[in-house]
Amino acid sequence: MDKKLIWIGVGILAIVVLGIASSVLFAEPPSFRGTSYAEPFPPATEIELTKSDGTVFRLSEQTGKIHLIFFGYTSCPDFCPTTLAEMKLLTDDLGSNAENVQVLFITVDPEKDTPERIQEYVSRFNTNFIGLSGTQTELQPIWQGYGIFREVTNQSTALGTVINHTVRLYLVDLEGNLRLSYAYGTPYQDVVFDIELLLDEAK
Amino acid sequence: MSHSQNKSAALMQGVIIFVYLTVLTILEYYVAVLFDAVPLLIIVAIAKAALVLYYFMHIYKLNETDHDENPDSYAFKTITNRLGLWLFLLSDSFVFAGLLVMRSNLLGLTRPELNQALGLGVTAVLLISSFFMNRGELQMAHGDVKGFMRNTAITFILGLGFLLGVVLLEWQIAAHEGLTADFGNPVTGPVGGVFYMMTGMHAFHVFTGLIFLAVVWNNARKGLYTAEKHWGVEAAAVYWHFVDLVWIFFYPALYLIGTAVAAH
Repeated sequence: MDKKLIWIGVGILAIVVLGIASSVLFAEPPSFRGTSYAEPFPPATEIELTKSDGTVFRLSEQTGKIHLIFFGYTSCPDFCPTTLAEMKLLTDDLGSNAENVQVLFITVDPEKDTPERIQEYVSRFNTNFIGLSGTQTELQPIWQGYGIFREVTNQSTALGTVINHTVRLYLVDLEGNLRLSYAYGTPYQDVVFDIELLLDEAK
Repeated sequence: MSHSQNKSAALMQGVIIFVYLTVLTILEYYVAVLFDAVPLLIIVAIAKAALVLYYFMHIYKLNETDHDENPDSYAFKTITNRLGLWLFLLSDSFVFAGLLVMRSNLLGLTRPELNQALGLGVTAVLLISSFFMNRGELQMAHGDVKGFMRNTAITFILGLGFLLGVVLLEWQIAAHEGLTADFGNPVTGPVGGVFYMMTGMHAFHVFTGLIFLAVVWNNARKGLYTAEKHWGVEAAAVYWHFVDLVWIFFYPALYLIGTAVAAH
């Protein structure tokens, strides 16, 4: 056999070994795609707000669910509807796992958003989503706890005054700890991937 | 070395190159299944491309010069023709490179959710067809017209199988899964557009390659080629391998790189 062909065979063997070695190195363990919080994971700040049906929602009382928390307001022209539309695609994608996931949309505009108004708004995307509002004093510690920057501007759109706010998505795991967060624009498939990973771990 | 030994060595070389290409294809498939291995997939694709360029397309023949420098000789014309063919392939590869750039801009590290078994299947069929094309060209270079016709017929059937596998099966399945060429739709538009443009442009080249194969097969049947004069056969073979070369890059780009994204 031609010497050159033998050397090429050796080269290909090297690529195969490299491939197998790196698959052993990198295939395990599967890692989360979102930005992880440092261990030990901080417990999620309590959310205690009255829902549109008059009952009180307490995050600490929710068991067996992963929570996806996003902050916004109903007269938001851009980021909020986009994110909620993605949350809808996300829950569709999850299939039967969707029952283990709760999407929360919390207002940054308590002046305008009543519990009814925000619930009606999120229900347009998915009736299982929960929209929450409250008074400024109730909301202030929640915003602070999740690190939400909020600034009422003097600009306005056809929908109303523009409020600048943090547009990260927060994931609270089954134990009620802040586990992961996602920058705006993260493909929702990455969030689905992480949720499936978390649910698999819990099994 | 006698003539027949030379031929069997050349045929053996084709077998070894085919085995190498098969090993690399299986490797890229399993590596992509196991982990996100973009750099490795690129290395494997370049290695496969180098093997095809050198051993199947004989790119080194571009260095051949005519010693008697008689511009009317068949050998001299072949050298000029060969340069023209490669210039055409170079310009044609810009179309495919453009499609790859479009794919990386629009989809990044995501890819359409496609039938993996079918993807690997059509890739294998095209690779095997290249093996038989190489064999056919070798037979012709050694004056075996019957052998050439037999191998070219197999190449043609496999090529047709690839074309039908992509256009009839893969496209139907993809459309059924919700992958549409709905260009106005911001969600499914880009991914559908990329998928149908890339596979469609490639399939069109396979189609023209099939016509080319049929033409040279028919010319061989009429006895128009000899061991010394068969430029048409060489051109058809190089073009056929070029189509395979493009798929070496398109297959990982469409089926292996990145996260699969379901079309909605």
